[in-house]
Amino acid sequence: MKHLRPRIPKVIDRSDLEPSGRRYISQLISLAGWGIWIYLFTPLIADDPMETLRAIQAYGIAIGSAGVIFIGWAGYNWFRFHNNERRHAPEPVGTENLARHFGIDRDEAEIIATARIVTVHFDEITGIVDIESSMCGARRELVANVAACSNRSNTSR
Amino acid sequence: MTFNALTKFVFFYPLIMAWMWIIGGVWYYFHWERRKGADPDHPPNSGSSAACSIIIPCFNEAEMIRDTIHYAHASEYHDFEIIAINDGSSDASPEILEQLTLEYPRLRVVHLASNQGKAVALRTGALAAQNDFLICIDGDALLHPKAVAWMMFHLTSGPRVGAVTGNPRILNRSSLLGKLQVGEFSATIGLIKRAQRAYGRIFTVSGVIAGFRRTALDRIGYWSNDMVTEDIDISWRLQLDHWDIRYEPSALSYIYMPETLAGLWRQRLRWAQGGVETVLRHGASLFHWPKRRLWGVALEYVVSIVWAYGMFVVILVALLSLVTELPEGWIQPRLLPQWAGVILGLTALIQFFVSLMIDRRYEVDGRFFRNYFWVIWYPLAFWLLSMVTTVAAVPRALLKRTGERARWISPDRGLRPPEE
Repeated sequence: MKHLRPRIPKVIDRSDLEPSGRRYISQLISLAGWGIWIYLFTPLIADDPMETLRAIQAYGIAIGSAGVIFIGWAGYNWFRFHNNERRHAPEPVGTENLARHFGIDRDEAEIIATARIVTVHFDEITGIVDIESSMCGARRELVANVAACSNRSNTSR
Repeated sequence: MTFNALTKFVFFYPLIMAWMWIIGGVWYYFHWERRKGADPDHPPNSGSSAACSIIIPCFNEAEMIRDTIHYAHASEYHDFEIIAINDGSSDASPEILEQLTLEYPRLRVVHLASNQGKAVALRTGALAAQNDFLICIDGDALLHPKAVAWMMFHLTSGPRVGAVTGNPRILNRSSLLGKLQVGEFSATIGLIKRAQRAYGRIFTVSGVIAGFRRTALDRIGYWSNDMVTEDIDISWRLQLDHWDIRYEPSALSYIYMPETLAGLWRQRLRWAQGGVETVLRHGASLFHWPKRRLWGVALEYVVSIVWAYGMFVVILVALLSLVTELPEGWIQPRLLPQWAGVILGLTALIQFFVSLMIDRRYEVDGRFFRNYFWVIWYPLAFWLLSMVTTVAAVPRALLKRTGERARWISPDRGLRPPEE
């Protein structure tokens, strides 16, 4: 099963998956979107070209000014902070710290960090009240069932 | 006059912002993206031998989790473990995960006995991790084989780097909604991330693929469990603690997005509400000179909220003017003003063109350009969608009870072939 998947997941672009009614509505919306977009350009043929140039000039100045501010701010940040390493490499958090932060014993922190399968119980305010490792008998049985189902479905493919 | 100024503001703001994103995207491209000469399949060698833990919170992910674990396990990185956090799922996820531990030697499973929400699942993952570098992905995200190597390159490149966020690529593109989101992710979200990275701070990591330094998380107290978007909150808190967050477009993760209007609406409303909650909670801490690097991001977001309400008012007045006379001196608002319209149309075109040129290297699908054809008008619709979700999200964020636990259910995953 796991070897059947491609290295990179495949893009799904299949219009047949969509009900035809929805597909037509989508096409209409897309056409309307195009219509509105093209309508935006109608002043280019309807009005005085000098007015067009003046308008573009005004917008150009506004956009240019905002661009200069943006690049100025980006540049300031770059020159002020790049290669400015005031921090030393931080120490690893460590089991002791983690246990303290999460309000559990060090032994419990070690169990959750090493057990292959573990169950965590919480109180009402997300405090950890219990950590138990390994699966229970019922779950083991379920896993066996799921594995059997999975094997059957793989064979049928 | 106030109303006339508002009318000008609502048309100028999207225009200026679109150009800021274009300029920022081009700056980023020439400054980092192009010069590096690397592509998604060829990450640079960081020279570090650090191991990492891939943390995957899952809630009712029975349909997706096998693929997610498979692709995470196929990561081409020398040393990593995978920790799947089953957040009290009520479907077959727990059993599937335990069965997968037999197939995938690097996989460990942590069951939360009851559903706690994504933030608690991530916190528990951080506790369970054997390594100090955490790569957190969603339960339905499929990693590119080199994504982990790209994330680790940044995380190990300097002591200031607290987090890195990757580049989610949408797989389902059959419907118009799917195509719109493909265009949006590259032409808008991708450009915004590049522009924000250019000025040093980003609004949010993508919750779907983000890497963290555990020491940084430990300093700020890990993820908050009462924010509807834990990714926006953690990004702000890390940066308020002066950690750098990098954006790496070559760290790819493949995702399925909703292809129903209801699914899309719920998702976008949650995003908008999360942004407002974050600004409300952390806005006051920005009024200090050492926090100045975040001012640009914060200002952009606050002005976008003002813009959304301004636009809403202008649309209401425009509709009102159809049935009644406006007071003397007021500009008669037209929903598509003539000259601003030409510039807006051109801007949308240029925004798409620039993003296409920058973004095509991350696409394996040769039909990428076709998506743009269908949605060339989308940058205009994007602003309307932002307006509606923001207007709806602000009261939700304001009325939310403090400390209320954030739990959410993933939206639909779009149209999938029956054989998938």
